[in-house]
Amino acid sequence: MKVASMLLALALCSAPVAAHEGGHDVRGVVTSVGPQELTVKTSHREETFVLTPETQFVKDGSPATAQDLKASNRVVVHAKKKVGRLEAVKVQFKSAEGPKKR
Amino acid sequence: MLGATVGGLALLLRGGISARVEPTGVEAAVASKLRQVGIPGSFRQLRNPVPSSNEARAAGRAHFADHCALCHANDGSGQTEMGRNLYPRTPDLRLPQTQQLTDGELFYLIENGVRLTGMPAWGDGSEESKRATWHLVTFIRHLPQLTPEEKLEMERLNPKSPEEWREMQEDEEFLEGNAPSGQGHKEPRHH
Repeated sequence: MKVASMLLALALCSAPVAAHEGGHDVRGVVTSVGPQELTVKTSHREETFVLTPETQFVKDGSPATAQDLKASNRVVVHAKKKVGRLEAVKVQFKSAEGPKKR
Repeated sequence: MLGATVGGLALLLRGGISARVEPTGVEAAVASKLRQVGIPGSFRQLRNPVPSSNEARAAGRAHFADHCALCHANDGSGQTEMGRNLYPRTPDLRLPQTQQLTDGELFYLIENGVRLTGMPAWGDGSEESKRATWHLVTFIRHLPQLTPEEKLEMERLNPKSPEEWREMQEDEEFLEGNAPSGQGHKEPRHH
């Protein structure tokens, strides 16, 4: 009986996990960037993203850091909604003086 | 008999057949033991016949990005929408639980899959398949040292839907300055 109670207690301790995880992607222009936050002006509004140690920065297709990012840079931000905030997963940008294709 | 009844009742009470709940410690321990005894000894002792080289790692990396990353993630963490929600959860391949498996055990698991998990049997018995699997074993050994450059390269190799290709093209054009900055908002989407 004691074993049965332990099994039941073990079974009821599990927590559900989230599915269809909310993604949020924007294209816009950087208005400010700090160690912990990135604000981007899109066609709709200004949006602020939390930067985490896991945030991936990609400049000209190569790994970069938040320090490489400047205000007025065009960016594509891939973010996830987590506990009521937007966490930047990946921030892509190019060198300001980078060549234009067209 | 009583044990089986209690065990069955416990499973039903914690969500029936739902994959939402976390596997219990008992389930994880039993599954790990079953996997261990389920791999034939002849495979367990195999050593990777493909010499470790940049070429072997690159071949394994490209194959992993194309076939495995959907569940295992490019870095092997298992942190993808699919990997997080499988039952049992996709293991972090960088951890000792996987890294301490022998070359032959890894080879057997990739070639033959694991029943009642999301791991399919990838092997078809051909020499080409075996060689590709050994390349994967080489790459799995390298996962704990994966560089950001390698991860980015894998992202380019991950399978994409036509819509994702179109979005990537539009992202590129926007970053190049070929789209007005005011027209760059992307609609929220699941990913």
